[in-house]
Amino acid sequence: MKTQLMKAMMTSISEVVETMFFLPAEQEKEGTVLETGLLDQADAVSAALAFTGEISGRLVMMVPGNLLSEMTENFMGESDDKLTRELKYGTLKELLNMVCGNALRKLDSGHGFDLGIPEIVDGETIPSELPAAVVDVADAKIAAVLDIQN
Amino acid sequence: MVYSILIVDDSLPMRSVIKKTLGAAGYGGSEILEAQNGQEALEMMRHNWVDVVLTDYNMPVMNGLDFILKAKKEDLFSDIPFIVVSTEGNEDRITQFMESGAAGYVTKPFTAESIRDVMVPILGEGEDEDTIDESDDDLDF
Repeated sequence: MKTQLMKAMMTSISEVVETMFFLPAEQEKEGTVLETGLLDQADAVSAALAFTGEISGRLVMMVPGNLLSEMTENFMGESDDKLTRELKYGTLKELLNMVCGNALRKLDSGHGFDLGIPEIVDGETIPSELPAAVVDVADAKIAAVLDIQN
Repeated sequence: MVYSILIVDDSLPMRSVIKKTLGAAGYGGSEILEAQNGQEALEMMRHNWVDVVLTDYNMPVMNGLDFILKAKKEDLFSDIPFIVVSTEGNEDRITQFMESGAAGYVTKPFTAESIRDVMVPILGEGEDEDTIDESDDDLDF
């Protein structure tokens, strides 16, 4: 189930990024949070979303600051000078919400999952050994980290 | 067609995207109203004319399901169609929305086409075109 969920997350990142953010996305690899290299990027922003159902846990997404700015510009149709930090954080939360919902639908037997409310988290609090899926988006990397509770 | 459309979502970026997508779907001239949750939306509906509501499910203060249930209990709003725009797309949840009185459902991520495909039959735009055609046929010179 965890393997299926990880693959579903990677596919969902590509689908959501291409449909809603108009950016090319290419699934790259699976590894650990440490191997993504995003922990070393000072401007990377992370958000987490809890889910419960047949499988429960949380999904964390990590996005470099420059890419988040570009995604927010495309998402909202506004130039970067009009985008506040809150709007960029809001965009990341929406990305996470759509990716998580889309991926869980792919696994769903019909009874569903409940999603929590996305929140911005400190990247340093994400355990470096957790499994992560990496997707290449416009010459940068997005990581989806799975923290399964059961 | 021009309508008064109420978008209910706690995310400002998502409300902007829905507004932009409505423009691409052919509703660019419509009046767009915005609310951050069900409670704010109900208050807005008491003071503004609304033709159709697009609402998220997962919102603080009052979620989309409670919002629809409360609105449908008020005579003033009983004829207004509600379309749920959400990431929550499993069968049980969709059934729950439709039983509560929602007229349609759009899953995120969405496109202008997917929004339009749901809105056109709900707003009866296809029927209008048929009516125009029939009335033209009935014209007697």
